[in-house]
Amino acid sequence: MQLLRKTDPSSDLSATAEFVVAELEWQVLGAEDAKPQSSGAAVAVPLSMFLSDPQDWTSRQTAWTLVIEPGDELGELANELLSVVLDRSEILISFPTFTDGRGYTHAATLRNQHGFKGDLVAVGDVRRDQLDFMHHSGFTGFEITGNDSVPDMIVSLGELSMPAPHRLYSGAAL
Amino acid sequence: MYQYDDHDRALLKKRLAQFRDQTQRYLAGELSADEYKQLRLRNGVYEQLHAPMLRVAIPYGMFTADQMRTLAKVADDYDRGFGHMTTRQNMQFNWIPLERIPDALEELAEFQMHAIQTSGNCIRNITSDPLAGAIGDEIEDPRPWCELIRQWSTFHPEFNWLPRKFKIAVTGARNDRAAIEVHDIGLRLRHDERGQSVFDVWVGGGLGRTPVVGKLLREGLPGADLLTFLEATLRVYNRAGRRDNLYKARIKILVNALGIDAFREQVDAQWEVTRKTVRTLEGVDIERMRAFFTKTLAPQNIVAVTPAGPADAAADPAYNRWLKQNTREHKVPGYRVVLIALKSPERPAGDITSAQMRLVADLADTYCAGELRSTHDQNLVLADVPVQHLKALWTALAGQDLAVPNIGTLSDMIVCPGLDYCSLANATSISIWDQINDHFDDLDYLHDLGDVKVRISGCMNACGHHHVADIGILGVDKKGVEWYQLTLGGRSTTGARIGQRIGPAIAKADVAEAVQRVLLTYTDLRDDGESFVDTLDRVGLPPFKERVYAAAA
Repeated sequence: MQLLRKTDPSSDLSATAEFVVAELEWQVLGAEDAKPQSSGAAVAVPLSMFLSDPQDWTSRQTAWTLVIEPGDELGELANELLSVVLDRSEILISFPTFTDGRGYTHAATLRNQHGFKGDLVAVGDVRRDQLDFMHHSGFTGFEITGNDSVPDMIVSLGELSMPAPHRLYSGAAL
Repeated sequence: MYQYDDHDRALLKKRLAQFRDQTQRYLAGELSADEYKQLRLRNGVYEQLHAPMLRVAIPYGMFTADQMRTLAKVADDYDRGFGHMTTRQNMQFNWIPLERIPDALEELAEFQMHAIQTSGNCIRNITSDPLAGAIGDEIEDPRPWCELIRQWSTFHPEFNWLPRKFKIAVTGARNDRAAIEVHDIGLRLRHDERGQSVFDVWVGGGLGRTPVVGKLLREGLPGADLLTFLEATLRVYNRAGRRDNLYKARIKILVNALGIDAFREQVDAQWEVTRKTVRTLEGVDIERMRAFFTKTLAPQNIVAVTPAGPADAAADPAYNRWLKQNTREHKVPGYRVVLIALKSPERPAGDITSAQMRLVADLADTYCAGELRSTHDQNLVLADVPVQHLKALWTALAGQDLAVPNIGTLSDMIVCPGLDYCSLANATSISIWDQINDHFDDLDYLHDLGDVKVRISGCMNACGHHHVADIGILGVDKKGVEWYQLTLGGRSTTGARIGQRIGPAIAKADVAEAVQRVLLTYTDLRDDGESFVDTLDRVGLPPFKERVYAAAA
């Protein structure tokens, strides 16, 4: 799976932010998939799979991360579980359909409430016309689904971005 | 009135370019109809029964003469020469071909107008008191706060894909003219004991299929925290609001399911976060906004308009009647608030022709510093008219059928477009508007009835606000035939309440007759000066019901 990734996750949200095409390093699993061997490939697993046996995951030597689904409740995690989540270098947030806006709140919550500094990657029904708002909500990576060309995705990423932040408009630079 | 800065202008231009590109991609077959639908909705474009509809935002009902002329130009050059005022203080056009909508939007953008977030599941146009800044019962002008909310909510990246639409209304007066208790969030601006601006926040009100009066979420919210608190509330809703059923997706359903106390706990927990991460308003923010709306009205030599009005009023009964019915006392002596009635029986309620738009724009320039307002009951306002010019203003308005003296009377109905235009409607609304106008054409009778509100919706989505009328009329479809359900005793002002169904639906031909029977019951039973709702509360529904259904049996 390929994604468009912001070269510097900490860079600002203006139209000049840079993006590159990269390979997603995780094999993405769904809730219905079997739990993978601990020695296998790097995987991104649903929160429910992680929560069913957190110790197994924290004891693994191989890299792994999480896929947050719209209905997941990050706010209900105990502190020690939450800190495991926040230790990930990258977290995937799933959009089963582009009209389900809960992923934006997951991103804003991870960034603003929990101070997550790593990469946030939007996967699933990712379309160019939503990229700008995703970016302004804290996403730094966007699945390339084949619906849109990479140049088009880059155009859309800057469509509403302004050169300088505004005091009152939301979304940092908007 | 707020003036766009470079940031506002640049952002609007970017959005226009984005939407033009999206529309071209759709027309070229590169975007699916389903995907484009969601994008066009966020730019105010619906597909209606006969043609696309464009809903142009009029933020909190404030606009200028130049903007009105631009609307007139759009009506002439792109539509069929008229527009329609909505209950969210916006203007709709009904016949613009889709491929021409970006051009129409470009003309509007030249004058700081747009259709952003006037539809779709996002934060909609903010509505407010159409008499703000001009009326004596005001505690504080709500418009500077409305503009702050407008900027915060425009393109808010987190809240563009909410479970359902989200409507916010603000009032700063003792008498609520913004129906805040039937909004997703209603804000009442007042002063605390130290004279600081604070808000009482209502949540989870709304009409539609499940009419609910809002609940008090927080009292005395400091003005500085307005945006942090709104952000917390919206975040709770975006995360927890239902997405599995379109009809259960509004915030009112969530609030009712959790109960207001549990909902408040969630908001307060989230507020702890947003207070640290969202802009707390500083004095300079609100002072800067207040400066846009502060107006110094020149002292007038002639100040008396009551009781009989200026000398010529008594001599001219038609003028006198208009003065009494369609103007209100201004907080500054020598000025009068003028309501422009868009309820002539000659046109559907709320419709305005391009010629009327231009006349109103010219009159606004001449008599009201170029400023106009739209009201949630589909009329217009010239807020600051010097008393000495009232006669000339009336003469000009009357010349274009804009001075029917029916503001606040039975014939000042709210009427949705209904099955004549709307793809959601089950029944026509305009036909009932016509029928009632034909039936009640005696102005003396209407004035004697006093303030009785009649509101008509063509389906249970309730765009005509029938739940909160003295007499609400809801169109229903029964096997391809239009029937109408009457509700009595609703109210959208302070102490809002939902009307009660009187009984079985009424055949289309009998609606005006049924309304008359309701009114006869009221006039027979009312005490001196008693309002419709008070009479209904005192005598109950049965006398009304008996009379309405007596002959039908």
